[in-house]
Amino acid sequence: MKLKTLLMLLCGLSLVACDNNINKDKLQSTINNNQPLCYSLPKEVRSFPKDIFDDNIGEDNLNDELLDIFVDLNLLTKRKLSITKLDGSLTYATRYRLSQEGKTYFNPEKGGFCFGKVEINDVYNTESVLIGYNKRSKTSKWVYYHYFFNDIPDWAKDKRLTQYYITPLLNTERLYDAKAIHYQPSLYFSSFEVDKTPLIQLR
Amino acid sequence: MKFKKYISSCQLCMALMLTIVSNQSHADATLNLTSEQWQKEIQQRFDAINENGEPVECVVFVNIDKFPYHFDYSRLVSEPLLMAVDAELVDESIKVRSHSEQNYRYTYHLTEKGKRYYKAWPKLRHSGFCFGKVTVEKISKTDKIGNYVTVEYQYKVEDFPANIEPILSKQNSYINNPSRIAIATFSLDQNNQLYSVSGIGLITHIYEGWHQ
Repeated sequence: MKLKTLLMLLCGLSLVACDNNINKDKLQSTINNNQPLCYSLPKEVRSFPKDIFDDNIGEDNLNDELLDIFVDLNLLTKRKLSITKLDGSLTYATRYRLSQEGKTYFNPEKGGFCFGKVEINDVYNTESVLIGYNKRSKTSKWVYYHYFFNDIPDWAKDKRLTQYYITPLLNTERLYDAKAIHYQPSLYFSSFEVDKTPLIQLR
Repeated sequence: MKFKKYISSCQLCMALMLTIVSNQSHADATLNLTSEQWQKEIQQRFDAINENGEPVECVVFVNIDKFPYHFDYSRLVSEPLLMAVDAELVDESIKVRSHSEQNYRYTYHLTEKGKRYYKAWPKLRHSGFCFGKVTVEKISKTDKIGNYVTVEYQYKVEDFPANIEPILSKQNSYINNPSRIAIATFSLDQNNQLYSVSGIGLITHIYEGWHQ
C-alpha cells in the first residue's frame, strides 16, 4: 500500500513538473541583470584612475602584472608620472586609466570588466521547492535550464587571464546546466531568482 | 525635443535659462516678426549666455569651486579632471608632502588655453569650461498659437578645442553633430516685452562624483 501511495504522489508531482509554463524572457532578463561574466579586479585596484607609486611598496604594487594584461588588451591605459620629492628629486608612479573601450566593459559595482551574454537554451524541467519534510511550496518552484555563452569578445579569451582567474570554457557551443527559483505568490506577480555566484573567480 | 530635455533636466540649466529669459529684447513688442527678426532674436539670446556671446556647451565640475584646485589623496584623482588635463585645459603636478607617510599633493592649474574656456558659477560653487560658438542659420517655420509663437530654427555650433571629445561624452554633444534644428517658444510678458519661454539653452555635462 505504501508503495502505491508513493507512486501516486510521484505521479502528482510529475504533473506539476510537466507544467512548463515558464516565462523564458523574464528569466533571461533576470540573468542579464545579474551580469555573471566579469573579470573582477582585486579590491586594491578596483577603481580608476589608479596611481601606483614606485616608492610605496604595498598591495597595490602586487597587482600591476594583472593590470598590465588589461593594458595589453586595450581596456586600460598606462602612463608614467613623475613626482617631486621634498628634496627636489623625482620619484615615479604609474597611472592606470580606463580606455574608451575599457569604459564600455567596466562595471563599478562588480569592480571589473564584464562582458558577453549568458543565454538560455531551453528550460528542461521544473519542480516545486521542498520546504520541509514532505512539504512542498505552493508558490516557489525550481526551474532547470541549459544556457550557453554568447557575444564573448576576443580579449576575454586571452590565455594569460587564466593565470589569475578560474573561468568556465568561454566558447559558444557548450551548454551548461543551471537552476533558478520561480516565485509566484499570485497570478499577478512572479519573479525569478538566479544563483548570484560569479562564473569567473579570482584565483 | 531633445533640446527641451536638456533644459528641463538640470537646475543649472534652469538657472542659466532664467538669466537668458530675463534678458529681454528691446525689439518690437510684438509677436509678428519676420524670419530675419526672429533669427536675430534667437542669436541674441544665445549670445547673452556670456559676454563673448559664444559657448553653448559646458562641462561642469560640481566638486570644484575654483582653480588652482588641490587634494592630498591619490584616491581623489578623477577621470573628468584628467580628461581636462588631456585636453590641455588644466595642468597637473604631484608632490610628495612629507617623509613619514606616503602623502602626495595633487595640484591642478588652468593652462592659458584653459583660461580661455574657463567658467565659474560662484553661487553654485561649481566651475568648468564652456565651448562652441553658435550661429543661427535659418528660420524654417513659425507658428502663432494664442499668445505664443513657436519658431523652428536651424543653427550650427563650432569652435571646439582639440582633444575635447571624451569629456563631452555625457550628453549628445554638438561636437559630433554641429548642425541642429530646434524649436523656440516666445511670448510677451506683462510689460509687453518679448521673452523666450523655451528652446534656447545649453548642453551641460555635469560631473558630480569622483569616478565617472
